[in-house]
Amino acid sequence: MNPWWGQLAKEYRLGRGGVIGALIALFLYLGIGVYVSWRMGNPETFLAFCAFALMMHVLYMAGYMCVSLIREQRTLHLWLQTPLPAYKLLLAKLLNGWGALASSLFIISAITLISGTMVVNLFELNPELTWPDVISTGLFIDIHILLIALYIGIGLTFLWAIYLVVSKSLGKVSGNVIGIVLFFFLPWLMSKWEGTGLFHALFIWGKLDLNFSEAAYVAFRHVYIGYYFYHFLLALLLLFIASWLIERKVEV
Amino acid sequence: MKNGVKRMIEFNHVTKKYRSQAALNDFSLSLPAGKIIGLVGENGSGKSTALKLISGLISPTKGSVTVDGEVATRRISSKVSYLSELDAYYTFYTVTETVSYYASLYSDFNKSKAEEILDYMKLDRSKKVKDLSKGNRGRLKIAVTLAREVPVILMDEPLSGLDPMVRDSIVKGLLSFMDFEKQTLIITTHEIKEIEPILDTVVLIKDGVLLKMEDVEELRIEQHVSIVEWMKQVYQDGGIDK
Repeated sequence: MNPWWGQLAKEYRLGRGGVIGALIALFLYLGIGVYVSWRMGNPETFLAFCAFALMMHVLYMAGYMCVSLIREQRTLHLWLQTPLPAYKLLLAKLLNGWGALASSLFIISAITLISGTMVVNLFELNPELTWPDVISTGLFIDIHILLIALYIGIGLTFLWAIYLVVSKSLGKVSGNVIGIVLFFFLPWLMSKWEGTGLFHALFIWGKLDLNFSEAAYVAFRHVYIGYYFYHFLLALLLLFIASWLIERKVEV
Repeated sequence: MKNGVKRMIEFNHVTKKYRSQAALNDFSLSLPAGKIIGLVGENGSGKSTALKLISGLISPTKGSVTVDGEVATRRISSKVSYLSELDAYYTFYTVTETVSYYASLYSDFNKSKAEEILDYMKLDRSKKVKDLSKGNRGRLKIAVTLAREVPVILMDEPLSGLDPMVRDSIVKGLLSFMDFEKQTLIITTHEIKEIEPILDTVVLIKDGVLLKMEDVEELRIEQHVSIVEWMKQVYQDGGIDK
């Protein structure tokens, strides 16, 4: 067997308990939604529960990677002793988490769609709404949840790699402090940078009109391909630095 | 090559510090190929650090470590099979799944040898690792480490936590499952008396400094002392082998 397939299978087993746990939590939450909706006699409440669960999936990879990386830390010497390069070790984790996210997202999207069209019947509430509107809006939201969640997962992996290096050389407290400072500082720095004229000149290009109908309630009217390209480059950079740190600087 | 003997592992003026604490201090050592080498010394003398440096799991603060001429980094795992002193495993796997996982990772993993060792160790293949006793987890660790056909095998305290009967059978097993034409075994242990009969060379370290390296047969035949007696002697003399 290819070593990476073996590693992928191991990551599946490592993350399986957490994924099943998250799925059970999702159904319990939806069960509460059904109960609350029934008690209030208001079917729209259940749709709101579904929409909230759907949106919360942007944090799915953060949760998955936290569990996986913390568990890995207990057997770090086994993980680091594998013959695979660090980027492949990280990709095995990210891919497993992303697969689990896609499955969970598919389930909640399907439930949201069913509750929106059959329980609440949005078409009756909004006669201008059409099936193509629902499908295109749903796909737009789901694709972005998948991308943002992966991005957050990579960001967390980057912070974890820094934590491992710092905690070994300066102690766990310093590792935690630096991790927390970076967690807040880096997004702030990014937002400052994204507000500059240089950023706009470099990455705000390739305007793409979304052509959603007014009935679809989507706030976005257009996106910029350059903006996606920027985040793609940033994700690659974070993954590269995390891999390099794990390959060269992390010790057990 | 030195005196016609291939040198497998070289420590070249290695210092390893954990923050300000030096675990190894200007440590130079050259270990031959095809031998069983015992790395002995008190707790905290730097034995585990030395093994981790060979396995590439840590890097020297100063100096260099090479294995078969290659600088030891994390990727040296293609040449080094390392058994950690830690009681840490992928507990969700069964014994069989653990072996399959290792077989998938390492192209040099000899699955039939692993099966043979599992039989020898009398391990229940269907049991989950988390349900095994500490002793059996130790045996599984030894089985997957020995089943790799690599030039260097490192074992950090492989006998700790095992009862005396098991320790004896494992020491015998080490001899039968290693290929001394191609493999070098470096072992750290406090159970010196148990491994003494199989050792070719013994290296004594204290406070991160190499005190002495001796041929075990020479100790037995010429000096008429056991390793423990020799250790006591060297500690008293404070002899440093440079």
